[in-house]
Amino acid sequence: MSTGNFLYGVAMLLFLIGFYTVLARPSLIKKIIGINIMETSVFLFLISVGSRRGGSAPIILSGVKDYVNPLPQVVVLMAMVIAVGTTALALSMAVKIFESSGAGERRG
Amino acid sequence: MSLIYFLVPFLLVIAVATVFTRDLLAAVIIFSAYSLIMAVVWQQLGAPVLALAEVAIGAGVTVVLFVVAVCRTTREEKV
Amino acid sequence: MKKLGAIFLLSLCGLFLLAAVTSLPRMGDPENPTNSLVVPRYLEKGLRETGCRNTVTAILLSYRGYDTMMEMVVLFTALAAALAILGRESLETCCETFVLPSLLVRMVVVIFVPLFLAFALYVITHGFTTSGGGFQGGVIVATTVIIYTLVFGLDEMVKRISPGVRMVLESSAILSFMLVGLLGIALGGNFLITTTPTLGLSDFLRRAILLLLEVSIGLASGAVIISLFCLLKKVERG
Repeated sequence: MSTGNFLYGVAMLLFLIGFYTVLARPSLIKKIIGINIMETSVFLFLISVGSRRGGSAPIILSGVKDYVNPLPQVVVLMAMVIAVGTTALALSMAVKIFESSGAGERRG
Repeated sequence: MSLIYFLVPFLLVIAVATVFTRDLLAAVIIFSAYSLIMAVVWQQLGAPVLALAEVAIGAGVTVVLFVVAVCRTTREEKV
Repeated sequence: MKKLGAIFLLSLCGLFLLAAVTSLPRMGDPENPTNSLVVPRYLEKGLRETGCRNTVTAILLSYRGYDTMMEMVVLFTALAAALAILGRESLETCCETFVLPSLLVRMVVVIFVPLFLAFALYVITHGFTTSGGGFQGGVIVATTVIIYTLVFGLDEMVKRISPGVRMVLESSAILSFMLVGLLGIALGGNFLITTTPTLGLSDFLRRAILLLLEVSIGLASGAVIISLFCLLKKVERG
């Protein structure tokens, strides 16, 4: 592939978009979406670090020589499942805050 | 691999659209489209395992959790 | 004012990231350090040592089984924390005013739910040779149950998969990992029994143990996600 370091830059931009959401948007739900975007950008970075020119998916077949790096895929797979857990935890906190104070947004 | 060149601009535009949509329900639905495009990117990068996981987790479960949470809190975002 | 501060922080962060990104080695180069150390060993010997064509599953279940177990612990802890905040649903508390959707929607769900579950079973059991695995299959199971819940209501789902059953399933992955792992140590080998070559396990037995781990991971992650959905969905009575 001749993409160069193109995907690293994309991961950086997505990270900044997510970071902006967490910093500047008032709604708690929007902040949690921002955390999710940041997570995906880190996943994209890890997978593009492990990619390999002309490599195929890491499922062993006879006659295929080059495979992409399977180790980042394992790490990202685990992180994806954990991301659901942390997202649900953050959402339940947001729901509790809304129900106890009637405020779904940060004040001030 | 060249499919990525078409997908990545969409990815960035959709991420920005998610951030600047006032309606939270609409933002969550746009986020599910973001996850679907991300799944195709995984497949193009040689990670079909992650593509399957992203379709089920990112576009499925996470969005449902967000929708349920939006239903229990408020739908519009005041700026 | 707040926006200005955010933009200042962002540009600072962006400068650091840009400096890091431009100094990284070229993407996809076979000579990159990430492609050289332990990874070729996984790719060359993974099939022979674990019997899994899918190297991701081989690493997940055998080489880094300890990691996977601790990951299930993290998921379990997240669920425990969310339960501490909102509380588990039960047949008494989750009664909601619910209107059944039209006959067409119900029939489509009744027809498709078994098909989805069969697909999930395929994904879980074929994780060794195709791009499936326990996590993906478990999440597909959870998605199917969520579709069922959205159409037939939370009460109906809680009647069929009670919180007690889910409580057992949520911890099943950790327990089976501990069982297989500690059995390996007790017999004088490595952490997981399947990674101990001196025991002389037959290929069939090793495959069966890996399948047990895979199914328990699927059930546990599915049950955790269903519980997370239920605790966000339930509405307190009165």
